Amino acid sequence: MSIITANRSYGAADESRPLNPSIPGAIRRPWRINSFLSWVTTVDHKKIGIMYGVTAFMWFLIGGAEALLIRAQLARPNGQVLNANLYNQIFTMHGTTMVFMVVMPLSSAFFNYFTPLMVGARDVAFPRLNALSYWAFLAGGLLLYSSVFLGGAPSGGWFMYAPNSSVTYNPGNGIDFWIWGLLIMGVASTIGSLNLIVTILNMRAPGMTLFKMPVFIWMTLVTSLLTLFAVPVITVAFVLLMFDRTFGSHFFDPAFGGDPVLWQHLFWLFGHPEVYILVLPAMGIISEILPVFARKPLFGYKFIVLSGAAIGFLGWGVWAHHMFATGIGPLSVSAFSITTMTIAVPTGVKIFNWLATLWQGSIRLRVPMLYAISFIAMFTIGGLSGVTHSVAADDRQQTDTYYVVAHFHYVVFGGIMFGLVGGLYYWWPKIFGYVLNEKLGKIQFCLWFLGFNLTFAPMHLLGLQGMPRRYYTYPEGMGWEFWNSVATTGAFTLGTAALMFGYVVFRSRRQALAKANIVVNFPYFKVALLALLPTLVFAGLQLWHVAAFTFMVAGVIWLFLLFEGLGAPGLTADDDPWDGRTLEWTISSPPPAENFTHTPTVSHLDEFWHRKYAEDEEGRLVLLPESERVDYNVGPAEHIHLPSPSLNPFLLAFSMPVLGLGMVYARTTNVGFAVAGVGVLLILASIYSWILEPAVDPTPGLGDTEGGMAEELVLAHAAAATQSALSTGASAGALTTGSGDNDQSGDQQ
Amino acid sequence: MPVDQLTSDVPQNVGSALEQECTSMSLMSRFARRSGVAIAGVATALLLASCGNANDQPLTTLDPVEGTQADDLRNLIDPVYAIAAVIFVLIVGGTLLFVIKFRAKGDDDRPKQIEGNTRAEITWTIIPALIMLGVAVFTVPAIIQLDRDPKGDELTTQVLAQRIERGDSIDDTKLTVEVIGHQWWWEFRYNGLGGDGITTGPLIVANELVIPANVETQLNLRSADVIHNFWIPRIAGKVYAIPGRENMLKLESPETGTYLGQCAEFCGSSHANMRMRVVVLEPLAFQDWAKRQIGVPSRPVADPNNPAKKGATLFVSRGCAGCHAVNGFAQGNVGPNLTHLYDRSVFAGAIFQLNDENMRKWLRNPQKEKPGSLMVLPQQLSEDDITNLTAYLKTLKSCDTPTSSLNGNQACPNPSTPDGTVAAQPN
Repeated sequence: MSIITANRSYGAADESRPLNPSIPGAIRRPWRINSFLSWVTTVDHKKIGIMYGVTAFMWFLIGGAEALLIRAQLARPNGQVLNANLYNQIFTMHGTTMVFMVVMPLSSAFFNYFTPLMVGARDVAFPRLNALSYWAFLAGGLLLYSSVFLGGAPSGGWFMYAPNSSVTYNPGNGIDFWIWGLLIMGVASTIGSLNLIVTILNMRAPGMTLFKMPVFIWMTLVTSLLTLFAVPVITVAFVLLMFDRTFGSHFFDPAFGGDPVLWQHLFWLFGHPEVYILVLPAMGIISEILPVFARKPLFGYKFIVLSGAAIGFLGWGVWAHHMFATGIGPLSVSAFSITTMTIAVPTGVKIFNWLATLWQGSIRLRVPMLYAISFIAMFTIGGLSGVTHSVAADDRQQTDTYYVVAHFHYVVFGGIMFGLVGGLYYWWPKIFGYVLNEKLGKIQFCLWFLGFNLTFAPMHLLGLQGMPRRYYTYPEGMGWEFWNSVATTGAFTLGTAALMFGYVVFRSRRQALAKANIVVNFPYFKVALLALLPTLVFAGLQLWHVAAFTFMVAGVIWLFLLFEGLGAPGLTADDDPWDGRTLEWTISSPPPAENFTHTPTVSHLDEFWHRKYAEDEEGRLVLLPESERVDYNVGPAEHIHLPSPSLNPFLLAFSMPVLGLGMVYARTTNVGFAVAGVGVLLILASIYSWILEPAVDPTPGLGDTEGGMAEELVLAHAAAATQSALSTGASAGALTTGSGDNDQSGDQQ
Repeated sequence: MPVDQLTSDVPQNVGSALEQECTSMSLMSRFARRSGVAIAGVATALLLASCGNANDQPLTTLDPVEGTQADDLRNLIDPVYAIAAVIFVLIVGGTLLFVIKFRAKGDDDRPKQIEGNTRAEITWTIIPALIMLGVAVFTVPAIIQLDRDPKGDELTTQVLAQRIERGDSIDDTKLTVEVIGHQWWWEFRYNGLGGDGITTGPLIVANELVIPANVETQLNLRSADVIHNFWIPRIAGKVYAIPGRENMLKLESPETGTYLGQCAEFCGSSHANMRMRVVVLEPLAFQDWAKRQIGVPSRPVADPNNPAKKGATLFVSRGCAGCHAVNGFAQGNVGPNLTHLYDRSVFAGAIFQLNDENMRKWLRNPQKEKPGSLMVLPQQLSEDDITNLTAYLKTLKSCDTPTSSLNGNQACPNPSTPDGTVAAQPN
């Protein structure tokens, strides 16, 4: 709390600055653009959270389709579905997509949506930066995928080992697209994590000390810190590789004294913390779900939090366990073998604590709980096979085989994706205003669980039977036929389950609309199908590259349809459908634009639970009668200052791929440098425009009137304008939010 | 596809019995989960054992050759699997048990609010730590063992001859082989067993590594291009071949036989088509093999109607000689050394069994059989060319009495000239 207090005093100091209410900005502020386009200019963390989630799910379907192609090819020996080159592109894109464009942003979706809600804030610390981080993620992803129709996707594997990634062995542009796409997504991750760290450290509700934060917020914090420090490492690697490819340097070229192993160290020095970046958010989510559906506090909160932090810390010392066959010498191998084993300890602590949370609980097996419980079991399998890897000598038999594929899919899919999808079911009513259909959800869960295990359990055996990874084909007579066909069957079951999630959403939304008597006029499905039409035409003409391009355009249109269409105006769910424990359940579903009309005051871990329940002498729950509950929402609304929408984050983000695209082609043509130059100018121009624009528009009477903001809110914007003008001149170091309450006008980046 | 007839010496069918066995074993292990923790470990071990059968799975790690490194590794990891199975059963069993036992009875259940128990939590922090400590105690010596340099005299031509002459064992010697990974084939150079360079050539072979039984063979792994990974699953774990570096892998097998292997690190388009095999021979057979490999194959008779002679001419005119070495004839150093090609059982990254049909297929379009293959034919070969080239390639084998010399003045009796006249040099 001392941090907040300190910042408040900074804010107070700012008030002595002179006013300048008429700062114009370089471009007109995009007020009052309705529905679809409002998503382009929004700086609302909730909308950005939805955008992250929808986009990640879209990539999930694409990455999943790639996985199905892989499995179709490997269903039988001598598969003919894909050729070698295509297969290599597809497994590269599958890995890259799932790690950078599905799991990370899906976690970001939860971070963005729920960090302010769970710490009792009205937005993140830097709302416009938040928008930038989403748009940069989308821009980077689109740049990466544009390689598909601009000469072929990268084919070096998501690990992109040197020197196979050099121009000599990979002369196409795929890897250049990969580098620049990921560099831009790296910008997104870095900004996003900074934003979350500042939000969590500075903007918690009064009374919420660090050890009263929900575990999910703790995991968000640890993940963000990991991201903040891990992304620079891979950025360095990308830049070195880019120099090798574009400018002919020799960082990874042994013929000139470079070293391919340097790439491995850099990649995994990022890559292993990355694993924890992926898994900790899901651990956080299930640590929220388990207590709610067991109606018991999380067992050993501090142990869970500290073991999460310990995993985050130890995660930095294990990267070379990806290199046990690289030849790093017995001393290094032993050291990394032991550090890897130590990770098992905090992981084990978490698992045992989750189990103890179930113990003597009152367990309600709703869909989120099914996912959370499965997380424990599936993640345990992944963790145990991980322990077998840490026996480094034997890892020489395991590494680069399907045993490893099985292992990390049990972690990333069986663990993380189960956790994230559980989180979707859990928080869906809060986000979109309707509960997902329980019955359909259970069917979807069963398919998902079955498909997952059918796909990946056989891979343990395949790996031990000697089947290496990244083989586009395998001959008969190796004894791999049976389990491969099982795995493929499982993969298609899993694909069905993923599509079924879409159906669950569709049905639940329709039921909710019917129940609430809401008529949605916009023809979502017609537009969605229409958007696909060009792709079908060009695919019919076998103009694959054009079809790929139009498909990408259709994908972007679908994104916006989903942003707008998943919820519906007027659709509301119970504030607290699960009998929740944390602050987000104290407000309406979906929450109002300002989240908390009254800034909550926190006195407990699981604050909301303690507002509803007390304990008797035996420690059993007692429901507090309504009359005894403290109503925190009395009195007039505190002055609410919300940041104004802005087009600048979008402009800046989409200037970056111009630079990227130019640099991709700079290797082969000087026009590339010219385009890159234009990109740099665009970036500078958007930054300039951004700087000139006050975070909150000074014009009185204007405001983000969508999202059901009350009139006083609009008026509050006028007040906020004053705040903004005040802090425009504030130094960058002052991460302040202006005044003592929880407003958001201090978007000074 | 380039994968047909890969393994004539390996049974083709995957026993469906085995499949059933695997399935029933997993059912059994599911059953075991219910009946007790102790059985779980045993069941897992049995499952793994039953699913690893080298007759059906030539690349399995679950049926290592006894007395090899792979065997040691198996013995190291088996107890870990057993421990893991027990922990798995405890955790998953515990989860299921709790879910069943503590299902909500009604909507207004009021469970006891337990926030934690420090003693329990410390206990389950310490127990995993102790288990991991136990695992580490066995792991570290095994790691060190893997990288310990082999001891003993280097097995050179002389040492080999001496030992065999005296009837001594060669078990205490070591053999060093330079292994070079290429896209997408393996090169093996036996520096200690090469010829004198005057009457006999170096010992360089491709894709098929021949080693003596019971001799510790040190492979010095390098790469000519990208990173590859040398792996003979039934004999030893894998180690990378990295350009600009040299890594060591030890192979030793007490059992003679042919063991399959494959590149395990993604190395470009034809990563899946980069295989190799290790042939383990008795010392005498190994000596014989080594002697043959340094000789020079006979030359085709200079008869204009001799297809092999025409093939030899094509070998040069169509650019083959620019990449391939044939001792005493061609000095290319890009592709595999073909001196005794027809002494081997496989070719083209060990994806093909060596026979006429496969050779013709390969020569018609290498890129089709092995995507991205660097064997780029300057022009498509006609069927006649292929016939002639194949005829020539078939002469590239050792003779029974290797008395040849590198300059081609002497060679072994030409099989196509029964009178044994010395074959003339092509060109």
